[in-house]
Amino acid sequence: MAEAPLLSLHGYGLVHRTGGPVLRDISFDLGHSEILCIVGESGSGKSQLLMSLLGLAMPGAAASGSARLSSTGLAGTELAGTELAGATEAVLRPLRGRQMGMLFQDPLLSWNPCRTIGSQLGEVPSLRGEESAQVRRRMLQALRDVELQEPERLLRCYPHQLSGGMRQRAMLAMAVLGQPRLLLADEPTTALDPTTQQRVLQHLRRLRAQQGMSILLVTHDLGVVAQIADRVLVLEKGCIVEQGTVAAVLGAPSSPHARRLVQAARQLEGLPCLA
Amino acid sequence: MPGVNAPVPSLALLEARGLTVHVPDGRWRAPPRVLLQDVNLRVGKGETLAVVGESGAGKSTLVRALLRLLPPAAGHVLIGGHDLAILSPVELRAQRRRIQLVFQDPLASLNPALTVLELVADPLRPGLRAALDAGMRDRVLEQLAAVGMDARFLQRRCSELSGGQAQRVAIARALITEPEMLICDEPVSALDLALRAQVLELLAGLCRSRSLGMLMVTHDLHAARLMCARMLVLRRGAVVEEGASAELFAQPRSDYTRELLAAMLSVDPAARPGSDSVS
Amino acid sequence: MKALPRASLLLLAGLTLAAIVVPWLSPWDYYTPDWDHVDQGPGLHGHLLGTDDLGRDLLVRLMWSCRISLLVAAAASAISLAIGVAWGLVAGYRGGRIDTVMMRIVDVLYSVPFTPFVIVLTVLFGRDLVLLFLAIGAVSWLDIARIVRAQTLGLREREFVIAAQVAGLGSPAIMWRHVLPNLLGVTLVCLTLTVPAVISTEAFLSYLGLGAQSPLTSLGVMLADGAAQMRARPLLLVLPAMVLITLVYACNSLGDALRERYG
Repeated sequence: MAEAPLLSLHGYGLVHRTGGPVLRDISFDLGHSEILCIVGESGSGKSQLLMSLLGLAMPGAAASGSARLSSTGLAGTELAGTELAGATEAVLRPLRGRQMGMLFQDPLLSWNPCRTIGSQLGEVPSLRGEESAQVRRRMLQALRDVELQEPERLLRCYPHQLSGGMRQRAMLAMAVLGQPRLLLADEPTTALDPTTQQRVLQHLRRLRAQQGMSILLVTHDLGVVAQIADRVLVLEKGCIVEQGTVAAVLGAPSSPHARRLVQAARQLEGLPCLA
Repeated sequence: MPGVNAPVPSLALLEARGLTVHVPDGRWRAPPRVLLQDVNLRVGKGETLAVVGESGAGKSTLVRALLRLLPPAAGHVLIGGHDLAILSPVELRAQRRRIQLVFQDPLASLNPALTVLELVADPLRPGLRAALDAGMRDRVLEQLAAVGMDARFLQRRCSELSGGQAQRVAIARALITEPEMLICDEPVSALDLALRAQVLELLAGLCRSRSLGMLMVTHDLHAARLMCARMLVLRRGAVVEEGASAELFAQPRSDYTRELLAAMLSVDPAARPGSDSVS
Repeated sequence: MKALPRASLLLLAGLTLAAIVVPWLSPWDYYTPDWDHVDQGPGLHGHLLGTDDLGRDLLVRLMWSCRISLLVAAAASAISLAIGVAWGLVAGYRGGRIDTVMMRIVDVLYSVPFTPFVIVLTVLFGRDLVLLFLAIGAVSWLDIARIVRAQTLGLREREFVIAAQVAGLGSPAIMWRHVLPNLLGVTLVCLTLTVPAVISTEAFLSYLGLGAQSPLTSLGVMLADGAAQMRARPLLLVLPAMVLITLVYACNSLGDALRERYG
């Protein structure tokens, strides 16, 4: 039985305030429990795609087309989803944190340096209305889930007292605290060391397996894509030039742009060039 | 027997012996934080060495200490056999010019107020009054040609350049003093994927054609193996392992090196871990 | 980016132009009394704004006052900028003991009370216009030095400065070619704050009788004269007050706009 996709984009476009196109005719589906990576060079619009779905695009940018997030319902039932393209703050705010989680690149900038980790975690919307003992228990569990040691002490720490890797994992804990069905991650491991990167990617895979969460992950690192993605989308100058499974796109890319990227990545690793 | 304090004459172009760098801890009466502990390394003329490690390992500190931008708490840094600690400021500047630096973020390492011509010619004008004459202009054009850029770029400012172009300008600037060695601090991590291989190839080609030594600091082990014949693994300011790159990859001796190698990601889909369980 | 406020620009340009042109065109000068028309109100009898109690033409005196105020503002600002930027740049770049000594000097000078200082200078050297703007310039550079030093401390750590050091450039060359051009933004901001302050300070000192010496006039002097005759001839006070307010307002408003743009 084919399930309706979790997120479905048709002809989605984004236009700069000055009129210049940022994204053109973006169409893809993201299924449940699927990890889709969006790759592209700087200026390809990949970050803007993510941000605009969250309603955080550049001020004045106008979205067109359709980006439908299916609403919770039993699999197979047809409930009208939420249209994200051009949605207002009132529509998007209840979704953020609950239906859609966010994970950004720079863990230092995402945390308020003046407040403890615990106080910021406690602000997550899905925890509102719960009693404090329950809230604390959920926060500790979330931190343990991302393998952070001594979570009780961590709750009292300030962001600058943690290393970059720990901050990013704490950020991941915060993002999934509300148990969202969709996680939007913008280069979440770019600023991290390779060993920490591995761990964060492992956590992401585990979240997909245990919670059935789907992940839309933007990255420029094809190694991350090979490691974690089910499907890949390649963007060039705001348009999709190729999409498909990881094996197809990384093993035998058809579009010239994707070919160039894969060849460059292979060259850097010392692997033989593609046929 | 040579005197106990006299540095042993060596053929290495750049050498560090027992290099230790401290930085005062901000807290009251706390002992200083150790950024580098007893680091020894040698790079000879025409040799390549990669310094790998995670963030906080002390790689950038090492680069600054080697160029004496940071004073060491103990140990010696020698360029061409001269101990930097005993040189006068003028001599120090002269020795420093033998080793040039390529930074990680090209747009940050270029003065936004200057044109490309002024930027690349800058090292040729160490004094306040030195003018930019035609001879310097020719040398600038020569270096720009070596990095694949032409006279069109002379009057541009770095805000008008792409990341890849800016890094090439930075490389041209580093080469204009005809140094004997380049220290590259994560030279391509700020660049797009497609450009990385190009810039690395450019660096490798230039080092070969001009017999330059190279010390490359990076956390990307692939790039390290590709570019450098020898590798040094740094962890929390101390050297964990050192040796030929191929050997280190095939048979790492320390656990930390093994951990680093295991964390490398490959673009080859066949190298992907099979299951989704927590490993 | 907002456009520069047109009203302020016009006012400032207009006043400056008038200050230059009017005394030149007018048959009257600022010190010769017109015995036929002493203490007259404004009218068409040859003195557009009237005359003061000594028979001197008010319009010309007003414009001359503007000239002096603007001259003092320009000269004092230029001096304070030159000293302040150089001081702050050297202190910030060299750091260490040189920085400490230089900034302690600034602290000491900062604590010298300004008005008594000018009074002492006047007692020692007499009332002199040059003295006035030297005195003002000598005090306003302190703020600029602090701001420029703070900015230099940040610039010193930027990678392109380190690149210049590694390339073997000497400190003077680095300060001149690399640090100074990047200080222009903050220098402009300082300038926009200094100029209106200097205009006000000059008016204040001249009002106290410490500035321009009679018969040379400035806005402060006219204000003092006008205040003394406030009841009989209110115009003598109102006119210079309006001009002063307009000048300071225009400078401030332009300064705001420039700060927004380049700050």
